[in-house]
Amino acid sequence: MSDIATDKALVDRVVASDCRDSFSALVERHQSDLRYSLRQMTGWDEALADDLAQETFMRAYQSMASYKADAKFSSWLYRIAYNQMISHYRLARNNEITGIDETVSAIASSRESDSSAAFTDQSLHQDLARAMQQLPTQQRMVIHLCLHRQLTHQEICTIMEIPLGTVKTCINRGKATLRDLLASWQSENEDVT
Amino acid sequence: MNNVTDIDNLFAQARSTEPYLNDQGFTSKLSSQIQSSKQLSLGQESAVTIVATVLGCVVAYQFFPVGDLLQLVPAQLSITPVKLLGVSSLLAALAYWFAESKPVY
Repeated sequence: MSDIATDKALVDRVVASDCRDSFSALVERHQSDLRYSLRQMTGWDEALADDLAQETFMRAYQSMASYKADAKFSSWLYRIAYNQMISHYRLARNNEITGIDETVSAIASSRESDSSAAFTDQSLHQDLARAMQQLPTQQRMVIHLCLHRQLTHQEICTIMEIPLGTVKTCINRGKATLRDLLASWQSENEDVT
Repeated sequence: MNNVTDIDNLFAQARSTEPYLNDQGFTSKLSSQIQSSKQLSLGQESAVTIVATVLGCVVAYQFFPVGDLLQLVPAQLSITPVKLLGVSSLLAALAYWFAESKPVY
């Protein structure tokens, strides 16, 4: 049985009989991916990412009957998570005071503090998250879904309810910004090669 | 090396080394939240609010001198520039407060 069918079967059980075990199975299956994605979206703020993930699953549970199997369950979750994130950043926009210069220096210092030969995978994830934090929320989500989750442009359009042209623009602009922010990682790669 | 490819490579590296995040109580915490939220459904909560509001209005109508209060409303209203400025300021302040206030989830 395919992954989508299994998810759908679990969803059906939750809708039909409010089966908590089925919902728990769905959460256990998707929590890691969703929490990681939200960490990438929130500058690796683990507490905030977990709060948003909790809220996402809560909303998913409350509106489980509206899930249509024409999209992957994970795509549906990302759509809810994106809306949660939009709400959060709209409300907390005044708190977003970190400047680009501070982010560049934070990434550079995290690189210097690592041992010179081998940079840990963990620092890559965190530096990527910090750099992504400088992108507008919509651009950040598009970049993550496209480059990390490798979703198609059409899937991203559906999840975020934005036109195809906007998706392409977000990818081009996001890559350009990340290129500057992650220059230290790139120069390291060139040194290695 | 192509810079665009570098960004793609960084994401490919991140993808291949993405850690599995252990549950660490995430699911159980969520289950307890759902349990508490299920005690009153959204529909039930709305029904309780509506009934309480209607009852409150009925009681208020019975006990408050509505007729006397209505007589206090002026039949004519003259708007001076100062009053207009005051009302505009009040509306602007209210609009700002609504825009900035955090709603309860």
